[in-house]
Amino acid sequence: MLFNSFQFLLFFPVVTIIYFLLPHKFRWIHLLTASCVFYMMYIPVYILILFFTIIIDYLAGILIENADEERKFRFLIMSVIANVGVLCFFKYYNFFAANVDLLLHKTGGTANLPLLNILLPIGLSFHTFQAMSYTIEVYRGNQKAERHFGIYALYVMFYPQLVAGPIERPQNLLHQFHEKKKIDYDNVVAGLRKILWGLFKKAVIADRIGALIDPVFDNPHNYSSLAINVAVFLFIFQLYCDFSGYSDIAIGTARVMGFKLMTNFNRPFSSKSITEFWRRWHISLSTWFYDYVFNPLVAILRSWRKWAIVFGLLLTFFLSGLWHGASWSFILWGTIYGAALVYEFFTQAVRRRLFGMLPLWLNHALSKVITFTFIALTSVFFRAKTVTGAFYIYKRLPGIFSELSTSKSAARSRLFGDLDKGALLTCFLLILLLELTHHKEGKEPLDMFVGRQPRAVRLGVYFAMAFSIYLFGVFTQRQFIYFQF
Amino acid sequence: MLLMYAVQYAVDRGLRKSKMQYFATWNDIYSGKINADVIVNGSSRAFLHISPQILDTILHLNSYNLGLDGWGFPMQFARFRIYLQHNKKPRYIIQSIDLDNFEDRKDLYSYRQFLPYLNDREIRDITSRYEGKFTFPEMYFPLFKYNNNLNLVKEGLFCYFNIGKVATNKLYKGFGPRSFAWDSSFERFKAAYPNGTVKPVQENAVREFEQFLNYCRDNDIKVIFVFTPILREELAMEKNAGEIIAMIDGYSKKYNFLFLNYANDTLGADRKYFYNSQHLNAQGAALFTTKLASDLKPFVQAAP
Repeated sequence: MLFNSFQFLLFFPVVTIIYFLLPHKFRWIHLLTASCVFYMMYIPVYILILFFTIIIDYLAGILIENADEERKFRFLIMSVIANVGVLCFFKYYNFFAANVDLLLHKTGGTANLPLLNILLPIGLSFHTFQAMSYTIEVYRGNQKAERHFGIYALYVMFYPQLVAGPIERPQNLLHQFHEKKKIDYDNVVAGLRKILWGLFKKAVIADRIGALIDPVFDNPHNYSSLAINVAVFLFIFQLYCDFSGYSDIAIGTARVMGFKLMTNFNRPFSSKSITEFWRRWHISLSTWFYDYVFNPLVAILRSWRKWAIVFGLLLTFFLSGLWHGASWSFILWGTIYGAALVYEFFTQAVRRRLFGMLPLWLNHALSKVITFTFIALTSVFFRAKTVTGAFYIYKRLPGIFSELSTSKSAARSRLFGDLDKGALLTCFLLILLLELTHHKEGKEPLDMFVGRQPRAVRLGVYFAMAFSIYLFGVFTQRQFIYFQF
Repeated sequence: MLLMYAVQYAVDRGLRKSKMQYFATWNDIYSGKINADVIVNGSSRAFLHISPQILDTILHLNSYNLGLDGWGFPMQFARFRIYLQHNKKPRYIIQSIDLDNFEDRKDLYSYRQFLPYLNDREIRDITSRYEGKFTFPEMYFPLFKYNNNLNLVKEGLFCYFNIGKVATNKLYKGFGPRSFAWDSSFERFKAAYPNGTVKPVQENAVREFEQFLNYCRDNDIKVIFVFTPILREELAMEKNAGEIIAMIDGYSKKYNFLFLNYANDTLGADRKYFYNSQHLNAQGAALFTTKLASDLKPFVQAAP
């Protein structure tokens, strides 16, 4: 069930109302049942995969807590192998088989590994990582093992964040399921406000941009370089609004019931470096990799000194790319980010000195523009799906200069022949609205700003947004982009 | 909420008076004022190729073009059934045949044309067969079906209140010829399918076609199958063209309906008369309709 669907419009209030009507001791059953129903709307039988990993990790948590040091580690490895094994089987087997075949074919051999004709279980990458963070934190002694099987299952399956995060930590989420939640006006208002904003970003901004630029990415050879450049620029906003919109709906849905999920995005386009970008974009994933891959790796390899950091960054982002997708374009995307972070690591002092010579406003503006350009350009790998497709787009990008130098008016006519003028203008206005909101958020949390306004203004804004979603939201059966992971 | 229902009512009613191309023919059908002697039925190759003006002049009959751009026979038949609910049955039907006749599409193409008529059961039934069919919110939530179609809301309100600038009718009795220059779609088709293609013949489309023919026979409506001109190079690439034409020939003999086959007409040898490999441009359509009307003259009786 998608968040921007009619079914969810019914599902969410029904689940929430029943939640608050039930006595506390039965609420976990209700939420777990609702989460199962939510998950089973996709491919019902895949819930068995989820139960398999839940049972393994539940037992592993208890075993780890009760075991001596040596056996603790073994139980942890067992849990990690089970989780990663399921992930690898469903997500990476076909990629692995196809590449082994290709490699052997090039060397004159053949493997003929069978390919699996199965769909990836929805949200597999997300709940697997969430489950692994539990056993790792129990192993580290930061989290007590959850003895209540139902509560543990709910931790993994909690429907607002089940299929696309935020990837929660047990220290944040588990205890909340034990707490008795009362209906709280502030939580309900804050949650609904978050849902509204998330839906606006998803249905009005992201899907509208998608409708405009999808044909360009699907058939770039039919479009001018100017149109391709515009599409590349717009895609990163589509990606942001789609994913952060989903996260906001997830966070808002949980908040209405009194659950506080972690922030997943924090004005990423304000970043002045790639390092900063990854502290602001998909925070739950980047912190997961930082805490469970990068940091331990650097600790193990500390004798390598700075090369431990270099290796750590490259491997972490290689894995991050792989997490995003079983294809060379995602691996390349991740590796490029790893390389960019290594570059920033080595050049930090130099860049600070150089940029420090500029006036502060210029320093910040230039840093943001360079960072944004890098992010927008690398996102081509995300969208193009194949390396060949991505390189074709890169090859076409510089053509904008010759198109504009030949005749600006001809280039403009061609652009508006390729991309609907009204739709393009609407997208740019929406992006402007988005960035104005972010700019405001930089000074004061949006929640607080809206909450301070007179009631009439607040209601007017809510009504305008709801009406915009209703009349201008794109509701074709368009999945959230991050569902594919 | 009440206001939204009221606005939707006004928009629906307004669009039912609109001359916008999406709605002009549907509105003529629902108004019950067509009552033509000759109906031209078919896909875009009917819509773009057969001029009622020329037919009327030569045949001295009242004709109307119900050609439906982008749709195979099942939707054409549905439109014809709706036509019969509001207008008297024709004496003749010129059924334009093309190689996609028996292929029903999967998606709800050009969905906007159906928006003002979703209270019509026939429209709801026929559109429910396709991907992208109208959802519960689109059918029952006020104004939701006009989501992202503000231009239609504006047109509907302007037509309802008789204010502002509204769309003009670009069609003549359902006919909408195109004066386009030759496009590159055929070159892309040849590149994508160098060995040609085979057009599907779907059972459900054949079944509905036979139901249509049975109805016409039982109600004394004379059907004239017409295979309008097609670029010869395109015809050569459609591997089962002969088979489909033979099917129509078979129906022609079975039902004793006339079949005028212009698949190899001289027009098809010259790209000058086409804007793509399957569609005549305005000049080509005018020439063709004149030829068609002359060929039909011995077989049709003028209106009394």
